[in-house]
Amino acid sequence: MEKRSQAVPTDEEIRAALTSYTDRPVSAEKMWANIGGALESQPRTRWQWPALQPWLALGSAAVLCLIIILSRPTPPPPQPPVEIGPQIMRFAAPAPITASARPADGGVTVELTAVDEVLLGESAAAVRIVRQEGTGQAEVGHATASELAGARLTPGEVRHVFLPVPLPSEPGTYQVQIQLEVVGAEGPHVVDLFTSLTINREE
Amino acid sequence: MEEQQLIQCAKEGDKSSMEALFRMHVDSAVRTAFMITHNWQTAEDAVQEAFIKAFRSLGKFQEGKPFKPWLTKIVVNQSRKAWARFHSPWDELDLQLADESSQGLPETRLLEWEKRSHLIEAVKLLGEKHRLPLVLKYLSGLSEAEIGEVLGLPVSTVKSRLYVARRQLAQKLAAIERGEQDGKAQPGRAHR
Repeated sequence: MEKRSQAVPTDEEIRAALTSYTDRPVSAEKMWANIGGALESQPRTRWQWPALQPWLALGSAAVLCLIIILSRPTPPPPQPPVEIGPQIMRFAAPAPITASARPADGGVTVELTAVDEVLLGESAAAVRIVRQEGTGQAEVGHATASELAGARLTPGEVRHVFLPVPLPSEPGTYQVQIQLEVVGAEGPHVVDLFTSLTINREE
Repeated sequence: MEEQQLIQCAKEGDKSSMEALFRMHVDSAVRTAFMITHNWQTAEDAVQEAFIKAFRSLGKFQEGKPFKPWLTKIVVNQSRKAWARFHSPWDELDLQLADESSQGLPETRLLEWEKRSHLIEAVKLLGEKHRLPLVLKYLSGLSEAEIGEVLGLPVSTVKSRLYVARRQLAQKLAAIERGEQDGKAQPGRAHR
């Protein structure tokens, strides 16, 4: 009995269940009326583009020339005071996910914690380990991880991702940069996460 | 008229060809969108937007290729956006049991209905990563290569996700049949 209930459903059973579950009347007439209306309001056909292109090119060139001529004699305008507020707000905008990293055997383990419910995109997460060198940065290693692609994380959910990145040989603190694709209300977008990685080597 | 001819005419702005393409694919598109948005009305809205986008960008469609995977990709993206915006819970839809319900169900039909009902509950318990390839294969009728195109994944990944999805389905089904139903996945299905 137990064995029978563990059986994998057949293709036909899955197909029949999904088909009968979604067997609903579709408001096709209403939908087509809306689609037709939207297409009417913004007609776009292929043959119009070649006709428009010379005008567009000519117009763009004229505007460009005008900008160059007008910008030459005028002295550079005084720099407006730097508005710190909006910049801080941009950086302080809460990411839907936080990260921390720690060294592991043969690589780095990244711990991701969802702040809100978050749906990750299909692109692989990219991870870079960098070292600060004066004003610039030098990459120590990088890797990608696709096991989280398409994952949905609930608030507070923690996921660990192991990355086979060669660990820096010198002890110190390194920056770990993680790029994740997140599917939000406006569609998929890339979220950059930064965390530090401390290497304590006992030689 | 053949689908490729309809696409050609639609590219030239022929409204009746666009309508024919719409009627050919709307049913499957809404079913697929529903399995992502969890809500029938949201699914119809997402599909409507997807068709508008598709018709506006028909110029990018490669001639000779099948229309359905191309459209499905737009539908899936539009539906994911809608889900991300609304996070709707699953609509309480009944499994369709034809018209015999009013005259009393034969036992075999009732058992079949119960089995399907459990299977749907199990599908709902899958994560999107595994549910979506399953939906695209069995509901949209796409091949594994086409699913790969829609989701931007290699065919080997699609195959492995489908394999894992079926295994998980079996485990969840067994748990449901043992009465270990997860509260999240049991929206009030109307048992008649």
